[in-house]
Amino acid sequence: MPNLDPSAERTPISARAELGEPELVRRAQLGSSAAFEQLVLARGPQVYRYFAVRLVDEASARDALQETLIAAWQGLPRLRDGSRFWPWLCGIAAHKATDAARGRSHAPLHDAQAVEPDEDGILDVRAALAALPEHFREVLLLRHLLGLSEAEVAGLLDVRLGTVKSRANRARKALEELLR
Amino acid sequence: MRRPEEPRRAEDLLARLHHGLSAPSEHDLRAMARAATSRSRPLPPPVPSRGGLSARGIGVVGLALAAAVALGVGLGTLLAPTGTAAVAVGTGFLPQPGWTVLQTGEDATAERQALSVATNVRLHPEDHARGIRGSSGLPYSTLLELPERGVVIVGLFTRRESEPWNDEFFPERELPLRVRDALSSISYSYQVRPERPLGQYELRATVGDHHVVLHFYFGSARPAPQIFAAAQRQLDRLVVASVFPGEADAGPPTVATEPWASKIIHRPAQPAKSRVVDQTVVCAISPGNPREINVTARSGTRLFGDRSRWKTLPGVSFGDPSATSPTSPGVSAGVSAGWPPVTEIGVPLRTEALRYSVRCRPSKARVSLTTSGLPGAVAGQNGDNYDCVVPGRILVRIRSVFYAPTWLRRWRPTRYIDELVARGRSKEGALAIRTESGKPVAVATVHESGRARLFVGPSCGPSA
Repeated sequence: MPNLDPSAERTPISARAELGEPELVRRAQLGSSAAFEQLVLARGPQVYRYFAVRLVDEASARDALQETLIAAWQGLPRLRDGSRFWPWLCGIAAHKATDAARGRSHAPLHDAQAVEPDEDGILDVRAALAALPEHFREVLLLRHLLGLSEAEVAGLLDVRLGTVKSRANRARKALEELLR
Repeated sequence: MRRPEEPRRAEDLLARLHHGLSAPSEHDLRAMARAATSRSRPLPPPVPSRGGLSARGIGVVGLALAAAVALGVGLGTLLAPTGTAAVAVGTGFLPQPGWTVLQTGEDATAERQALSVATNVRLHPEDHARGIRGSSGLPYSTLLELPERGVVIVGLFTRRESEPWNDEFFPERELPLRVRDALSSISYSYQVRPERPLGQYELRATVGDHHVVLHFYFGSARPAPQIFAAAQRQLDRLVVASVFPGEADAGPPTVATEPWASKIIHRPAQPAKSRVVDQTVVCAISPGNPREINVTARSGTRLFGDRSRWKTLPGVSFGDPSATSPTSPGVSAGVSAGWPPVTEIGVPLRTEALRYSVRCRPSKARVSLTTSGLPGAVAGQNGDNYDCVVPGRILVRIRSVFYAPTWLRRWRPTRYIDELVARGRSKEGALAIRTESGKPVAVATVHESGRARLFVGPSCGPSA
């Protein structure tokens, strides 16, 4: 069989997004798969990293990302405000991660294929995150890995803003304590 | 765990984590996006009074659309306005009189879709300026101002081998595609122009080696029959570049200059499909001392932990040893069986169960698949390899039995690989090789159960 590794033909992403994200969302809502592809190129890596931390292993992260993208494509017509695409997508991702993580125990960290050699203590951080209570970990990841605002996290988790602030504060302290 | 001398802030730690994690490649992300967009969206609400395109409506041949026509202005070779098209278009639309075509001007690759837009109205200047890539294939500004008799057709073309798992969403269809097969894609939330609704329809098809998605936009939610007919006439000029066996290598289709924009030079006919693909070919073997071929048979191996999937499919094949040099391709042929195909990370899924080099030419000679008189056995999972001394030309018969009708198609992924392949789920297959004088060289069989068997003649010996 010939080696047909397509990575040899990779094209730069730089050609992406002459259009803004809301416009791409609009076009994707109208059925433009090319626009959706550009959205995936722009946002997919960030969502994948979120899954990689929450689900630990690469295969589960890829599966979850794929399921998220399918749900996003099918649900896009119902998104009323294109400027809310990112928090909306994060919401889907959070639910998919919860579904995927439900009923599974944390895999040992040496199975985490998505992690580079641990030059910066990444494994330590992941281990510490894994040791946090679920509701602490989720707030931290949504805030700092996906970049959502506290208000967006509150909306996504369906809790009050004060609850998010409180959890985030306690989670940060707990994480720092674990890594001290 | 690491214990730094000074405490670190959680934000910094998480930022470092974010940057330290790898992410899927661009190719993988594109594939994931395509896998997602191949899924149908939930059914939209019913369209007032006209849910789909009726055959009755299409059957009415309409009047000319002269009044609705506005010529577009040139965009180099990307834009082919009426009467001026004389460039190769690859995969896309050839404009009919009064229509303007905007397209990428290249065939789809595993990495990138090809896009084409055909419209019977003037493209909005913003869509002109963006070009087809910048507009993501959707001439949005044109659609917003689409007059009642206006039509825009957007075509997206993807190489089938880059997403074979999507076949189920793209029914096999033949050119010319029919507008009446399109389904309504209107729903309130993604109606392009809610205040003056467009008629929006979608048609999906597998045409040859391509997955095709066509979006139809009509200036009215209730287009007149003659508008449908006009769209059909433009659809008749859809070209999907494919090469089928028996055809000369004509290259990409081109638009004739006279009569302009009205003749497709190269539109291959779809060959007949069959559940059994059975070919006998004659292959010239490269000189050697001695001149020989390599015959291989390998029984399948199931994935550890998931017996429903294959680690290695059962397969039999032969090759000309010179084929190992990419610049001097030899001939080869092979059959495999079993399903689903083996997935390899970073490698497009190969779904062909039968293949042979185009350099092997069809032959009317009879080659028996019988193994009588030949010693042989079930092949091992690591592969049984034999070198067989052969004359300059050999006869090769390859046969596969599929679960669904399929056909031979050209597969030319690189400059050095040029094969005819039949894709699909194969139940069993066989490969038989003999000399032109009738001496059997080798006979091998594969079955979907995973078993491969190899029988060889006296001119063969185990490979060193």
